[in-house]
Amino acid sequence: MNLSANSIDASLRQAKVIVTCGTGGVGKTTLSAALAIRACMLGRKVLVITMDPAKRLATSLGIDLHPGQMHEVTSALHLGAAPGQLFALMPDTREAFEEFFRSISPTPQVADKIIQSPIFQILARDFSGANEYMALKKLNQIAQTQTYDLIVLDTPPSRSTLQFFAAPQTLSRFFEEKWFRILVNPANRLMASTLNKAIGLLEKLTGRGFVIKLLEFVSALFETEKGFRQTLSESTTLLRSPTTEFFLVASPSPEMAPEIHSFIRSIGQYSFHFSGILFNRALSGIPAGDRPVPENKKNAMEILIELQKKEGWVKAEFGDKVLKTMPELVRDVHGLGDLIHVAKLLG
Amino acid sequence: MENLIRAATRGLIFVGGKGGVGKTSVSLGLARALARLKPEQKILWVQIENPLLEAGQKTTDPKFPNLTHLNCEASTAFEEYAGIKIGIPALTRIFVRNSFVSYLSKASPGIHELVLLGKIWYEREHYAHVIVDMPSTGYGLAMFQSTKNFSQLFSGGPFYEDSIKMLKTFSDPQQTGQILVALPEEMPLVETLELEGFLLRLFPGNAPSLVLNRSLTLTTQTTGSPPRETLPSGELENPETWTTLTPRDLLDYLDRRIALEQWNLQRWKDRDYARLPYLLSDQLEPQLIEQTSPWLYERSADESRSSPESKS
Repeated sequence: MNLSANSIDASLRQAKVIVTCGTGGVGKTTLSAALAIRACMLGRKVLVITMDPAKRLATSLGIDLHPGQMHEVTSALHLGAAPGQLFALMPDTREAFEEFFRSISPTPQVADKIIQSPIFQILARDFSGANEYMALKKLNQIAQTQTYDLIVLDTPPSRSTLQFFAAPQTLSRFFEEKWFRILVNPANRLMASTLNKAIGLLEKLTGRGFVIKLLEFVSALFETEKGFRQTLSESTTLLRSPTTEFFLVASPSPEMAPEIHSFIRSIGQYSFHFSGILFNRALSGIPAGDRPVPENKKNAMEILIELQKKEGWVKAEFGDKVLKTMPELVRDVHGLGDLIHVAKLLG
Repeated sequence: MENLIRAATRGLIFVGGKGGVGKTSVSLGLARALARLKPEQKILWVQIENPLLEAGQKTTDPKFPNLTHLNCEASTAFEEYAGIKIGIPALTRIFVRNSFVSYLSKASPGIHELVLLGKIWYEREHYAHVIVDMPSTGYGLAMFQSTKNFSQLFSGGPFYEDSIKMLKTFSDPQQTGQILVALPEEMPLVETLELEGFLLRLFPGNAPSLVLNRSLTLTTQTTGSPPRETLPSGELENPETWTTLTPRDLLDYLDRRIALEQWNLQRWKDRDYARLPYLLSDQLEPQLIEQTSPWLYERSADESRSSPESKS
């Protein structure tokens, strides 16, 4: 397969992890799959992971993805001689959660205590807001096995892309808090009057049963501290590694610009490696043409031309941070054939 | 259409959908249309944690004096809510400034979302209509799921009681409307139906209303009033048979997108939904949607019959 060399290919050849970020609706999952296919074309053994509960990756790949199961897609690509290998995984959030707590618990009893807690039961549900934590854990776990040359992680939908980055820090803060040590040791609790007052108020607001469950859960978590902290620090190390690259997928519209700026700033703050922006679904490459425009289509054509003009401004604003501008296509991308087409356009 | 009109006349209106489908424009358009149609009533347009605006800030656009904009943010909302429930300012301070409580409210998955919805739920008492620009699909669902989760976790006290009342309000079609916005593209159409299913499971008996945004077909129709029929008769061209994915020129792109839109809309062929034309998506868009919004209300309450502006 002849692919022209560019900076995307350099990343696909060198990186061990590529994290694709971006708000929903910009084709992040499609481009994640296309990046993985292109890396496969370049001869690498690639895994693409998605946490999307809407199962978009399965639709993009045109295959049945079973949660928690590793799927090899290589042969379906029909790439001919000597390509790499392509795998896809959509983790089962609940299973991943249980596995995580089992792996960090010092004894099976501690793991059971956590998993059987009603608080855990709720955290492990879909859309509980815990997706970003699990994505990181899964990424870390698979990266450690060194089974794949490259892992492409399609980040889960969350409050914001920044929420995802903050996950390890937010969690590790838990173990650093003074209240945490006080809570799990009743002798200390007698001394901590403001904490006791706060807990008393929490009991009034949420009921005694909830606070008891919460404190039990927190105490069980405390026993996993060593494993938990280790996992978190491994996650941070992996995300900060020079072989982990962050791609931002965005639409080239002026409304996106503030978010792109804030994204680039945060990447720096977290000491992650930002490779650049993939602008998706750009109209600007479509030639104006010289055919007469029917009266009823003039309005729509004006809109398209206006959108093209605005894309130009946005692209100029981000200049060399733009890795690639992917053209808008005439129809939705689905199935491997379409994805291979997009993968080729990434060159 | 009936469905949408009913949704848009309720006290609490959540506008949700996939990312990038124009939820902000549609929700602001609705809020402005309602503010115009009901000048004597107070309307609130809520955004969830817009990082570009001050947390918890309320502002009013001089052009719409009865329309308030709230940037709903969890920390400020939590403090306010705890204050209402605890009642004593000194105790509230101890509570919200306590590092354990502050950690719970910020880092614990679910509580953050619960607090945001709780704030919105409270605000509805002070406004005739509260229109919420919801976060995109996954996170939007997380907000409703959290309320349900905590109603099961809490064992008593005001937080518990409120979470139960919140669920009741959200399930009640007299009080709450869910509007789901989609684009005429395959994934948004499919995901919107999935989102609809999820919301129906959470709130049975309160079916969401569907809105198709950025319809190019509608943009190319010259008459003022949007057509009610769904699809043209006759065979549709299957876009999957197109061998090239790259458009020849802009007109080719437009024609193909219109054909694609009609093909894709077969997924919604049994559904009742409203359509909005493709408009420019800069600041102009809310105003343009606002002009087209009155037809959303044309068959609603009497007061909305005197829509001040219409496209024709």
